[in-house]
Amino acid sequence: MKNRIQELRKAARLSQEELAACVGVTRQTITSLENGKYMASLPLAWRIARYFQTTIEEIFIFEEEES
Amino acid sequence: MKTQYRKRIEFRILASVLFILLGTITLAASLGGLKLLGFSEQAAGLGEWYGGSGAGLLGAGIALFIKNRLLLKNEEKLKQSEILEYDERNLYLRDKTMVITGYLLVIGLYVSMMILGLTNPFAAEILLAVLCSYLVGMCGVYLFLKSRV
Repeated sequence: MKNRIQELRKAARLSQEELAACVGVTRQTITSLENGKYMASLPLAWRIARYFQTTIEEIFIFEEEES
Repeated sequence: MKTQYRKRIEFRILASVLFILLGTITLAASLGGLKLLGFSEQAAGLGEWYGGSGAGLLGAGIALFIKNRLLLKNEEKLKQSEILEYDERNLYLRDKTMVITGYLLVIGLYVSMMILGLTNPFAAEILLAVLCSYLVGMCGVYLFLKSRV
């Protein structure tokens, strides 16, 4: 699953630390999410989407072959 | 209003007091208390073992008490600690670590049991009992969780 967290974060001129504090996780979690090493849970995906005022589908791109 | 995490830290302070008490009792028992209470020479001979575990419990209790008391006094550190503790990646890592070490434990016990069985069947039987207890416990926890989730 790909995501647009880094792109949206940079567009909002936020550091990883700041985004982490806003969605209630550590900076390392944001780094892992951006690198695609960790997949966010539904509540975290929802918090990130709400923070960027968009939908989960706009941020997390599901690729069919993963299922 | 007290947050859920603050209540958790307060509970941990209580637990650390219990650790301190248990550690003190165990340490006192190791310093001749076992003999005074009428335990056998063999039990009293375990003084070093009781002394070590008592000192460990006491030390851990004091360290946890201080750490948690300091956390409660500093809102910023309390918030950081809460994020660190509930961070979902950290929780995932903790769960994964438990699963992998569980597998390693079972494999390690099995291999040790097979090797020890050649020279010391009694020790091998103890390892088998530990292994079986672990597996039975695992089944119990699985069934309990299955009924809840």
